[in-house]
Amino acid sequence: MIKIVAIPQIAPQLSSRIPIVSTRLRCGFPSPADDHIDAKLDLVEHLIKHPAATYYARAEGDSMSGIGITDGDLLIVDRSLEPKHNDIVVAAIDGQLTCKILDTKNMMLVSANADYPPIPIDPDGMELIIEGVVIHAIHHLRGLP
Amino acid sequence: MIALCDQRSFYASCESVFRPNLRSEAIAVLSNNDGCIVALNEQAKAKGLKKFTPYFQQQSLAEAEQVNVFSSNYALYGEISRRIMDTLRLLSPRIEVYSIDECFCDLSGIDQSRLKAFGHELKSTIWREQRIPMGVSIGATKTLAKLGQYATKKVPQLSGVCLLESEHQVSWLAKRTPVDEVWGVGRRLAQQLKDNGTDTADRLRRLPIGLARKIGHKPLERTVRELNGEPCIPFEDVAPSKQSIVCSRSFGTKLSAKADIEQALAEFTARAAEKLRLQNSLCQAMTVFLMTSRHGDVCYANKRSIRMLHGTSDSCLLIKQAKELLNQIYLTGLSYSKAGVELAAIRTAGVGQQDFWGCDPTRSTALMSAIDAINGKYGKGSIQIASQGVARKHTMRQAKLSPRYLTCWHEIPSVLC
Repeated sequence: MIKIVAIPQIAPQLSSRIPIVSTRLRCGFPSPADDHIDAKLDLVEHLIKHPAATYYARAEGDSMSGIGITDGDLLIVDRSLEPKHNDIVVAAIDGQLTCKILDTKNMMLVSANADYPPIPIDPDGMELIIEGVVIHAIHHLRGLP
Repeated sequence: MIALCDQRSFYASCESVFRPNLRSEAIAVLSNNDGCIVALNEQAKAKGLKKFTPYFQQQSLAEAEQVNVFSSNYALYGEISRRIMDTLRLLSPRIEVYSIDECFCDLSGIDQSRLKAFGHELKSTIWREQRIPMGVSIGATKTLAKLGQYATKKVPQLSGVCLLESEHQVSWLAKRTPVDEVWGVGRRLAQQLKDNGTDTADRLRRLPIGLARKIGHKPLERTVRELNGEPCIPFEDVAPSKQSIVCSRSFGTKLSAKADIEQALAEFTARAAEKLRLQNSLCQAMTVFLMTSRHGDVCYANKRSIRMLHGTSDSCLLIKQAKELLNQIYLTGLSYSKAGVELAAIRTAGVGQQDFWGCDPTRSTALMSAIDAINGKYGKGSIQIASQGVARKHTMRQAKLSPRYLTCWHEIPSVLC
């Protein structure tokens, strides 16, 4: 025969704790835009196509003011691009990084300011001195960030 | 086939990336604390400077010869290395980053007839996009690729690209390569081999496998097989997690006060813990070591380890532990030159026994993630454990440090307009 007995509670709990659900419950109408949320716009991704070959530089001087590059502007320079006629390039002139317009027709580096004469370049040495193509110049309208 | 891409005089080359005027000049780079010369470009070697010698012994020569001397700029070298590896990863099917300036590329799938042209393409792309000179050597195994690198340095006619295709090419080069230049043959093993008459890579190639195993066990057997074109060393395109993490530095000036050493140790421990969390691991053992200069009157060096009950990556806990270990080995009255910490018994976080009696690790994990996120966003050291200190006495001497051109907004290069 099996006898069934009730097991008494050893330590009767006087208060029981109710767990609080830690995720927030949504009340109200779900946002109709929920299904249409796109990724945020990424300026760096938008401006830079070859991140491993791109560097930032600070413009110093006024020789390029004619095309809107002024002292203190941020230059974004891509070394992977083939420099073309009329590109804005960074060139090593006398070992110094310098920003100029590349004129492949006359083989010259040209400033955008009449005060600075053009600099002739040796066609064979071009590959050696071009340190990248300036793909963007960012002008800071309320001072340096 | 496997290519080995080797950046030439890497640290020295990095210093001329944003200073084209230095590309034809002599450059030397010093170790941590400006102690030793660790890198020289060809021009600097030609002036008679020697690597791995104390700088103070060569300073007058360097100054007389107008050598451009730099402190190690690891922020710059690390970033340039990362960019080079990213570029190589785009160009080849698989890569294995072997060190900061070396990388193996798996060339399987590339047509045999195009291999040499491909090597030149890798080299010219890295020069154009990164302004770092590179040597490329291609062989059937990693060890043969390494052997080819010796040729790219010694045979100028190769213009930096060496393809080891035929038996004839391999044996020609192996005959001219001393055995100590073979990958995997250390100084002691090389001496042992030379004593046996095996003084060139070619003689090593022809060593019977049984004899190779007897002299240098499994590793030397592998080397001999690889030299004969049989791949034995696997290609590791995913870097294995570190089994131990060491962070140690020589102090800029000698330290004797316990508080100063504690501060240095706290800093090293925090750095090591950060690396531990970066690879998503916990450690369960720790060693702290401390030493005086070997050249002083009193020589003292000691270390102490502890095995912890539970794995952790919490900087606070680890720093506390490091201080206790320091207590056991610190002697008053000595001036110490170096200290360090090693984290060991490392395993992946999330696998393993939880601490039943200890506190809930969730809070500490959240705190550490917050610290790492803040430092990641605002720069190293933006937030830290108080014991790492503010005014640091142990920081490195870096008197000749160049700008962090690629990793700090205030230090980006200027371009003349």
